[in-house]
Amino acid sequence: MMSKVTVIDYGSSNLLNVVRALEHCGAEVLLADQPKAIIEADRLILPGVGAFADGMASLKNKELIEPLKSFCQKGNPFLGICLGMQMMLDASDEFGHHQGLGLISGKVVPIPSQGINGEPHKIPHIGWNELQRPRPRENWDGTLFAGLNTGDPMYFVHSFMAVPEDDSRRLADCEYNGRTICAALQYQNMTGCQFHPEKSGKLGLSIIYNFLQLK
Amino acid sequence: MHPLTVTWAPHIYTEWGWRNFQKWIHAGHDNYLMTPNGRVHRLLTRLAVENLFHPFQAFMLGQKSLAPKMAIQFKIPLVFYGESESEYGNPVADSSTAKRDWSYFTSGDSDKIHLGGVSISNLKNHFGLEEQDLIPYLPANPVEIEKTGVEVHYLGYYLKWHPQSCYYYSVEHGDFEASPERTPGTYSKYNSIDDRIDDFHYYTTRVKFGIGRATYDAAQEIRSGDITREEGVALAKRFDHEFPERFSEEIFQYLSINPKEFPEASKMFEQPTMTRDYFMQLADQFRSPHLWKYDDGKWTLRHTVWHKESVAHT
Amino acid sequence: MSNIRLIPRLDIKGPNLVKGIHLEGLRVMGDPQEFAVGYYEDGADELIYMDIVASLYGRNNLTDIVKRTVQNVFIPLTVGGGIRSTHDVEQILRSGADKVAINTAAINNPDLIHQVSQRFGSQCMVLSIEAKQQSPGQWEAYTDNGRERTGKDVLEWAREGVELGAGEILLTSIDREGTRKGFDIELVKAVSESVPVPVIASGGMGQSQDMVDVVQSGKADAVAMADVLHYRRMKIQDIRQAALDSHLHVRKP
Repeated sequence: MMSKVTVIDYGSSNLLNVVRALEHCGAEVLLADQPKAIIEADRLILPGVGAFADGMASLKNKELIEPLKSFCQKGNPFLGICLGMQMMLDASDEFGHHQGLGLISGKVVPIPSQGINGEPHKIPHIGWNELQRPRPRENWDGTLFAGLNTGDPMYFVHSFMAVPEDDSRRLADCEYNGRTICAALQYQNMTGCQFHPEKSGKLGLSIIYNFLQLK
Repeated sequence: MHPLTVTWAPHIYTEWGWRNFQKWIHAGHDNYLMTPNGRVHRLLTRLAVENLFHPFQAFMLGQKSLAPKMAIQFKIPLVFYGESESEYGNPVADSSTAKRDWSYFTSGDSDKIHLGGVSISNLKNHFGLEEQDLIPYLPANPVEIEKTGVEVHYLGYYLKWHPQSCYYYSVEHGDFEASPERTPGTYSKYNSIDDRIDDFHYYTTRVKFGIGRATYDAAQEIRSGDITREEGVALAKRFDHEFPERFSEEIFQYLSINPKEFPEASKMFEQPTMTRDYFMQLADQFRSPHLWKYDDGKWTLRHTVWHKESVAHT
Repeated sequence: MSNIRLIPRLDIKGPNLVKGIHLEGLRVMGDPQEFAVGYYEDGADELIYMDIVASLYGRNNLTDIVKRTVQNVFIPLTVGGGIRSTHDVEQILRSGADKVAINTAAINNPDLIHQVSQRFGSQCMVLSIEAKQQSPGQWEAYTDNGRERTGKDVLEWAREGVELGAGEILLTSIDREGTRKGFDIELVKAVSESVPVPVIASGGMGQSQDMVDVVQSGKADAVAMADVLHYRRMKIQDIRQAALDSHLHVRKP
């Protein structure tokens, strides 16, 4: 049977790319911009590109914040992508201080403007970077990353990064000139990817495929 | 084959044109460069602008007769030119043979010949020119042609003429460089880029025939399948009418017949100094009424390729 | 560090993939969709689509081609040509692009860079610069596929663009483009050292060593290539392997 997945349509520009990747993986995709459709979804994806404050403002204007939180409490699979993942946290320092969804404790801060050696490096962090498994995680079994290996490359485009309060929420990291950047978060039924699985070739698609298999 | 290459120099080289000429030699060709007497060439070119609105006439006559003359000189019976003039709108019948028709550029009677719209006797009597000055512009002697057995062929008769392929070939084999900027009046920057007066040649064809350089270039590229007709029409619409600003001051100076350099000839012109205003005034005299109309204080073409109805007529 | 990206660049005119020399004398190569899918399958890191006649028609023609391509291509796509407003950017992103490359409109209205980066994020705003050398160490920015001069100095324009919010620079050398003579290393190095954002070097790739040189000496963050791929002179896998052999940090196959 075709997996049903609901994607939140709040004006995010990468929406259709996420939809195409889902369809490519065999999903039946529903777009939702109404509270009811979100609360009743089987699986929910929050895509996102752009500024944190704008993303939160759009969700707020459409009155989707509370329904989103209710959905996550239900225990069904939830995936946030890029800005969608950053908004899962409590707050962000991007262009001021802005409140997030608070699904996972922590905040969003700028990527340090220098590498660990003190040399300035390029921001945004754009490009393919390799996944690392944060200790003490021993494997990715039972997560959306099942089947992936450390060192597998994913596509990142971002200037800010998530810092969860509890390091055990880190599903994957990557390293940028010695700086550790959170590549993915996971807590209970919720997963967030800083990178773009829909733009990360076949390995990225495997994450989406795994998401569609979750009950 | 070891061809001897001969070149009739541009009126005024562009920097990249001169560099490309050097590259041509260093790509492995002997070359004779014929550079005509600057004052004679300026005068004949000015006359051709004044009387025919054709800044390239003197050049073309010189270029056409040069190779056969050199062929006689060195007893080389086979002469090749590039593409046939029919590629630019001359009668198609011209291209039914590979060879040039001798009647065009040999003549036994020099009094019947006009240069720049002025007869040779007039040029000698009133413009301060001498027999010797005109030799480069006059056809080869037919008797000599016959004796050496000179034949002039067009390469375009044997190989499909495709300017874009020529560009690729020249870059690949001769380090040819395209112009550093778009040629005014068109969109391209790889063909006919060595002479600063070239921009004006096409500007005058637009006045006389209603088609500018973008139309020539686009028509060619459409025929070759390099661009679509829709694109060609858009290109012609955007660029065909463009006045060639970039070298205009230099060209007007070139076309000015001042008393110091031309004591006799300068007296023959109503306005010896060429200016933008005078040039545009000349242009208006050469606008054929069946092509142009004067509306609301400006000249517009009666028919353009971007009007639907004119498409239907073609 | 982040990986050096290998990016096939597809210049598009009407329905066709085209390729020129010095961005001139454009040859029709075929259906861009076929090439794009092939490059995705071969492991390209990103794709660049440029509508190179957009400014002629005053509109961008790529939304349909982009929509078709992204059906089967799951890597980032940068689209440029004829983008003049945030509305145009939205259309292009909605049709499946991840980033937009802007040249002419940014020259005419530098504030557009600011508007686009504010609205869509600077990661999305690629400043496309067509550079032509004027004298040693000095380059002028051009528009219209290397045809129109702007009078702007490339290094100053790059810095200004980044200050306004450009998140990346697509730097095309008109002198080298289509020549297969190697990148303009001096140019790439000068720009890369002038701005804190990634620089994509474009124009001149003829062999793998050219890529190695522009990364090692030119400090390029990404390498765009067209001729060598479109004419099937090389495959992306081979270029990637050559990069790995030279110890460049590229995505492992």
